[in-house]
Amino acid sequence: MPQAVETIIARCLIEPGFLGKPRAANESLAQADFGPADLEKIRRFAGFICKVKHNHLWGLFPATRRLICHYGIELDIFTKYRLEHDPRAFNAGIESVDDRLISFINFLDAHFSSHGSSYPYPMLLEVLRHERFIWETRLVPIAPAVQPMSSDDLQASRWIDFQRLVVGLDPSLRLFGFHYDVQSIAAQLEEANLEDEIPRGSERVLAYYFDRHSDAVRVVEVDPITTQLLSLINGKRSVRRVIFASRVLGLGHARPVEFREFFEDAHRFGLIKLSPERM
Amino acid sequence: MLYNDGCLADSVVGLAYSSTVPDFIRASDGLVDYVEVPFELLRHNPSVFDSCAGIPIVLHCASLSIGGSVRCSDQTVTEIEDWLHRTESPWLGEHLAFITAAREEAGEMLPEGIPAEPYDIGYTVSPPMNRHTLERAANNFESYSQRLNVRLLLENSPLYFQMPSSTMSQSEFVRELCQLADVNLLLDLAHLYISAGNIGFDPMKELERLPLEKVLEIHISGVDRQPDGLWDDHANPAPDILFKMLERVMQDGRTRAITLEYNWASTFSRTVLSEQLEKVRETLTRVPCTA
Repeated sequence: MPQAVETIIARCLIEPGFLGKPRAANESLAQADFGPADLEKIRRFAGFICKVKHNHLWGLFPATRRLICHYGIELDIFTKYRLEHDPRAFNAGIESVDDRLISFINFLDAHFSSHGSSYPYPMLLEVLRHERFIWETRLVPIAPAVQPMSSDDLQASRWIDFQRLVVGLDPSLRLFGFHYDVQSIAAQLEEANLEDEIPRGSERVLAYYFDRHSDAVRVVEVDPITTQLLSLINGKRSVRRVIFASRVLGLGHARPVEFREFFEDAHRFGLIKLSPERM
Repeated sequence: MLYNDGCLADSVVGLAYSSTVPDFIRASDGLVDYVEVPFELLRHNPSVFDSCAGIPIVLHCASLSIGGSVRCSDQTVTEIEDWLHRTESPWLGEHLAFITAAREEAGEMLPEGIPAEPYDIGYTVSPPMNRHTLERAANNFESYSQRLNVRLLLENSPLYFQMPSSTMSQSEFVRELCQLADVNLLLDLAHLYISAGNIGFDPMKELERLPLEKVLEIHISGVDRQPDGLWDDHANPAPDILFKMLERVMQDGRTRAITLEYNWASTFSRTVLSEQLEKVRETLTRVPCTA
């Protein structure tokens, strides 16, 4: 009998399908003299093992982990994840660390999203997304397809030539709207000093992009006009066409030349690239 | 001096390996004596050995499946042997647990009646505590000790639920195992505390039931308290009761080494780590190891 117990336990711990079928699992456990309540304990133990096996993946998502731990739900999350994730590929060395990370982060995103407004931990999704954008921004290929103009050349160009330039987004750029101040939350978590009440505010858009000069991901808040202008840039439109579209969409009160400062600043920050060619 | 007649000298304190630990030890100015490194990590990433250059290593292991029915592969045992030589570890700490289980018992056979590969849990699980397991563990222990030619320490695994077919407590099991074979112990105080909370016994009283004179190494780490029980947690500092337990073990034991296991969070606070080390040092000063 003892060997049979070990075999059943092992099967429960490594086969997601088996644990996900309470009837089959319960029948096997009953054969080994487990009580009905033990299935839940074994399920939690499987979640615990899953948690331990994912410890090394948290380095890129420290604030997400700290917030999960702050709420005391790390084991709950891994117990749910364990029902979907098959550990055998990793145990056998087939699943790469990157595959593992992507699978886990996709799960977390879906899990935090699935509850909608009824989820008691609404900050989690936004903090996860914030760290996810930082991670993904770093993964984007560094070299732009077309060599952009220098800032000096740009400033020296005549307005008529400037308007003919093609404008493209930096390939690493991502924009996302948040209702919580995720940067402040991450900082508070790092200092182990999270405020008790963090209010949900109106939407603020953050831009994530890779700064090649400092070899670091930059995060800046962008205003609604900048957000609208950036949303019209596709690597094919000229400056003139982007200005035209934005004026049609509500910025008609501004003269075209007043947009030049935006393009020059955004180019200098690395959010966009201006070039005589299509990108 | 760290080594003394093949053992670590009295009162040494170490840290379980994480990527930040070697630099922490080098900067700690003698606060930490050694680093404990899992064999499985060295096997997967041998450069970890180089990152620990100049720091004594104690090798830890979770592959032998001492409490299981499936023997560890010969190749793995050879690799453990190699790493024991390279690290010059004074002993090998291994779990009193199983990590693999026979698949054919679940009725799974390959074509032509060939037994399928065993289930590989990838994590150590405390086995059923009964006479059958006891004999098997004693045999496995003797066999691996001979093969590896090194002192093998057995670590108590945490109990998260009552294992069916168990007929004795873990302390009874350990005591009988020490009588059947020349076993030395790696007593994980967090595991013992977790087992006490989950199964329902007093951890201080349970210490009295263990052969403390057999304890050569101690593990200390955190405990995660959840609504359904206690769970192992190497990402948070140990509760104070673990230091009372440490003091008690040190009074009777021959403990040579105390390892703090805070290796589940790369962001573990260095300040807290230093405080935990100081607490261990303080306890050792109060109860010097004289054996």
